[in-house]
Amino acid sequence: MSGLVDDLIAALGPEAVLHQLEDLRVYAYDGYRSGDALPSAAILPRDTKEVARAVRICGEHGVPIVARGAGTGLCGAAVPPAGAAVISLARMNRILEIDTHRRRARVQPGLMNLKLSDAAKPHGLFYAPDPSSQKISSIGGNVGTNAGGPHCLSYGVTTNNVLGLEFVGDDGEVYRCHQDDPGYDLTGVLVGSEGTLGIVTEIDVRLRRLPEETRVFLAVYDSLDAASATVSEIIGHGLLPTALEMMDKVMIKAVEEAFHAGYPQDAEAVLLVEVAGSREGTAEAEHAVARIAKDGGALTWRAARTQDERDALWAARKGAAGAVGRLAPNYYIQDATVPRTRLPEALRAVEEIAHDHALIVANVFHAGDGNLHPLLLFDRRVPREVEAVVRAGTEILKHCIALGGTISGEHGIGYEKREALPLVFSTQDLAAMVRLRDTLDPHALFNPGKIFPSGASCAEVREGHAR
Amino acid sequence: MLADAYAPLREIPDLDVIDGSQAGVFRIGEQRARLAVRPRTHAAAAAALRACAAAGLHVVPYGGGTAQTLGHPPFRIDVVLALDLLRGIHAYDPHDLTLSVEAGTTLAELAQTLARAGQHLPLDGAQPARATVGGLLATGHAGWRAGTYGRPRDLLIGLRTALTDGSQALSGGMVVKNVTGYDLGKLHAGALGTLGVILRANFKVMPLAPARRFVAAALPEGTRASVLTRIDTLILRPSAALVLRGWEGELPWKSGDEGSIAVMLEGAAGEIDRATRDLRSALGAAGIPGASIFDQARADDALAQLNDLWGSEIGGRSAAYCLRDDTTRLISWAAMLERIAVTEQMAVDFAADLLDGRLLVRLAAPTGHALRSSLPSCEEFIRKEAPGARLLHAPEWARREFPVWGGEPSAIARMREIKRAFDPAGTLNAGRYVGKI
Ligand SMILES: Cc1cc2nc3c(=O)[nH]c(=O)nc-3n(C[C@H](O)[C@H](O)[C@H](O)COP(=O)(O)OP(=O)(O)OC[C@H]3O[C@@H](n4cnc5c(N)ncnc54)[C@H](O)[C@@H]3O)c2cc1C
Repeated sequence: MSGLVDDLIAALGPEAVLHQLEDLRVYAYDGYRSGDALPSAAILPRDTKEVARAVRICGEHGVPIVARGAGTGLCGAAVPPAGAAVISLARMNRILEIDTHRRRARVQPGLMNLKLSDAAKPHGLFYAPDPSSQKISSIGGNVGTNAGGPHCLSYGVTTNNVLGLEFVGDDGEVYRCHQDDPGYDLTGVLVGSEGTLGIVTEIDVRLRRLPEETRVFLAVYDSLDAASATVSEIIGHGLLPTALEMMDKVMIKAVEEAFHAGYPQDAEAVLLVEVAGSREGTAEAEHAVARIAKDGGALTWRAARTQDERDALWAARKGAAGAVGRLAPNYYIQDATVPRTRLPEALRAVEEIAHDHALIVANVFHAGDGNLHPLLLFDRRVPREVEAVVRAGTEILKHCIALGGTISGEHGIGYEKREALPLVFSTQDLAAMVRLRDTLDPHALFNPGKIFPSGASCAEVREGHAR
Repeated sequence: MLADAYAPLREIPDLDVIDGSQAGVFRIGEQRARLAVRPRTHAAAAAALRACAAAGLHVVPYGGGTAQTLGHPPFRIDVVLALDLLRGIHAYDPHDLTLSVEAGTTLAELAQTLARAGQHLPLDGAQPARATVGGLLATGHAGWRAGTYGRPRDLLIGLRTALTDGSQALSGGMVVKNVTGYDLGKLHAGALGTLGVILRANFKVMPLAPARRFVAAALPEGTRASVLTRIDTLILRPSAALVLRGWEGELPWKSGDEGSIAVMLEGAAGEIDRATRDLRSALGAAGIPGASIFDQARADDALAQLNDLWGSEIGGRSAAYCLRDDTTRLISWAAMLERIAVTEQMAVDFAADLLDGRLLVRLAAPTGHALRSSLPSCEEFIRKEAPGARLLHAPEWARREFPVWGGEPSAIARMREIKRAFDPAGTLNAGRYVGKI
């Protein structure tokens, strides 16, 4: 192993290679879990050439590589297996170009998501995908997980806003792919592949014009059912607000105590609705959505009057997960998607499952997309609770699948859900995916052990491949 | 010898086998199929594919046959795999805004189903009465509203394909947000059926805009340049905006010295009224006097006519290219091509997409023979200015000789590996794709 570190230092210089235990600890976790084992090195390249060099050296040593953005991922995708090398893109964090005319930007992967919209704002533009973690997650990491966010309801998720990529392949070569280029859409398959197909070193993204008008509303309900039925109604009427988020009572309380943004603490559920666009369009959309919300039993329908009020509501929504720390020592955030008409059923099931396992659940999620995020509260020190959370989490996934949904809407599969993948896909389906993996990374150099089931089921996958 | 190779196909249940002159209705450019198979089920499609791969037969998947002149000519055509019996809506709940449809369904049929629920799939194909969902996905064709709604890959949420080993592979699902497993739909969209055969596709669909208006105006001398900048500054963005020249008899409005401009507006009624006012004053300021206005169904028809231009071929004597760049540069290329065409005695028609930076240009000679002598100078000009230009249709000789897809991408070697992994015997559409994959 020391041979690896020596070679890396010789090629990239000592300041780009960390290998002391206390330094490595920082690279052994992500937002889902801290790894049981340490990587053998953390590499901090300054440019694409250095990434390529590092990949080649690791390849020669047969040491697997885990790309790391900001480490905020929620499925363990950035957690290195023991002895792997981490390539952190943190130092490659520049905006390379903003083309205001064609509304595009070229950025390095280590750039924090929000920084791009901040830089585009003076040009009247913004970058649409806005995960709640946008201040603390990198665009490279967003590409890795195909991140979503509240505003993806109308603007699409990361994959719909990434036009092209530069990446380093397992052979240490630098490749460019772009949706406008001929050939297979490598951009499309790399986005969301959790660092298993290559290391992304540059990203071409689409920027959008800031809307002329933005209105934000709060609809308050005395039952979770009524709120979720309203969401199904809004979508069923063919209305697509720019964002349609929901919080339940437990969540509202935590958020309000933390942020004092003006969420009503006695409500069972609230919908946070945003409509944006032209003056005429937003006025019509507001009218239509407000009517459905009230018909659906909203106790109040309140507009945020000022920019400050809007910002406060959104800041509280985006900070929700953090606020849960007030309620319990630990929480486990589940991520699953159901067809929008099945939302009320799905939420009822979540409630029942939590109840069966004597767990408290807090809901805060992208309702308009049917993307649930139940947070199961627990105390890591109590083994019974840990076990209950694991079982409840799996039951929720199974229930969502039964409703026609799937096991991850935006957080990814990583370590967390790889064993659940066969619940959604057949052996043949998985074999086709593994075929791509085996083609672009035949030696499993990039992020081994993620996404696909391990052990026996993996052998099954390979068997399927051979058939 | 080959007759024997076909024998296993006749054993497959739910597979119609058509040979002799009847198979000739399936045309691939200037060639006709000698044998076609029509699966009635997904399983039959997968079995047929496996049988062909095992027998070393070359297969051309076939939807409506509207884009079979895309790409290089195939190395060989042994079997046409026609998907016209795999048609119909598999699942559709308008309240979910998602839909699952069989690959052989025509775009027109799909649009009708959706329209009944006040919805649409805003992916515009040419000749929707014939073009199929599978073909649209395989070609990755982006119509004139792609700058607004995205390309086929962007609205695709799930895909079922048949692979040459006889397996069927699903990716994605029936939800609008999904990061479960690799997004293989992206791999097949635009792959021209070289990796697998598309059986069924799931899409997110959208509400039809309550108001739709199409505005077209002739461009008098000296107005083209200024109209480009004015369109760019409109606050209410149109869903499509084009500058056109030529296409005589194919468009229902008048053209001026510098062609015409066509704009599609979609939105709420109040929005459209304001957008129309803004557009009129922008056109007025650019020196463009009157405009024709088409509303609702007539607007949809006008847009459909524009989308048909993508497939507008003049039998054996025309070629069409698609170039991408900044619109100002595209328009200047179009003007230069017009000059070259004059010396070469060719007709030039073009359509420039002002929202997505694309130029569709069709070059036509008086005869197929004349095209052969005059097209190479245009090809040379285009390759020099826009190496990535794509040849959309042309007679076979041109598609054999010219770099149809533009330059080779930097990852071409990796793409060949992907092809080998998914189609080891080179069964599917061999020779047609990028780098003659
Ligand atoms: C409070 C909080 C709120 C969140 N809210 C949301 C939300 O609303 N929506 C959402 O989608 N997610 C959310 N997340 C999850 C997380 O922020 C996203 O998954 C994010 O995209 C991860 O970015 P990162 O830079 O932290 O990536 P990391 O965690 O470092 O990495 C994520 C994956 O991407 C890979 N990767 C990173 N960089 C590269 C690269 N350059 N090339 C190739 N692969 C790479 C990694 O190997 C790993 O597989 C939230 C997380 C937290 C903690």
